[in-house]
Amino acid sequence: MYAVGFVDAGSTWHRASRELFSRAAEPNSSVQLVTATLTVDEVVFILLQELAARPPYGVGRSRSQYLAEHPDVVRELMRVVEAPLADLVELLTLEPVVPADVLGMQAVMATTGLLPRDALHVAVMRRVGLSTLVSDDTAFDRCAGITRLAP
Amino acid sequence: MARPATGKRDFATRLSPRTLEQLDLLVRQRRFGTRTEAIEAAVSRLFEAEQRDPERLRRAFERGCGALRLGLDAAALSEAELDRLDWEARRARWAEGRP
Repeated sequence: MYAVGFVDAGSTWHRASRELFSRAAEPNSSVQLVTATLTVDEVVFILLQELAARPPYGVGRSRSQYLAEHPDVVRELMRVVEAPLADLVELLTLEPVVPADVLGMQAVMATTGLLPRDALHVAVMRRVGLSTLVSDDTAFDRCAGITRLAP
Repeated sequence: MARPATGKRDFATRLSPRTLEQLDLLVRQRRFGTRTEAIEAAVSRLFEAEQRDPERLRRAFERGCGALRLGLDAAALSEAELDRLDWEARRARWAEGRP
């Protein structure tokens, strides 16, 4: 959400994202933005879908299927997404998902009832020692030791 | 404590058996002359990677911030997520030969 809001000037989260990323980009900033590599997949997919909905493609429904069936369109849209994505990634520290995170995910799911992808994000956070998360998803509030910052 | 002539300083640590095995393999493969050289190279690369160049960050912020204008909001994100989940579910059904 914050990542999307950073690149999308028209997003409802753009103002908050701009402030957050601006702080992280300051020299000697105490703010470092860390996310799991999963986030990149989520962000790119959303951007591709939104771009596919616009002219000249104008895909209203089943946009994921349309993209899967039109690699030429994906290539075309990636020309639009590539540069902002590179800048976004430059400002983030990406953490890989490692095998140990699968066990961590299971533990998080068992204790909080979070769904797998969210639980995987929490597992990565715990492995790298992070305790503050930026999200509007209140489900993360069920995780002990995690402080959620909302826009 | 006097420093040795090499300019190196003693440093005691404990490493996991896996890390030690990897270290020794790097030396046996002649990628590094000694364990010390391998550790120094690893720390040097880690240090480089961890350094955040303020100028690069500033440029990335200037270029990337608001580079697109799509008007995404919570409803659009939710719709995109559902669209993807729906497609993945349909793809799984097709893979199983179900309509």
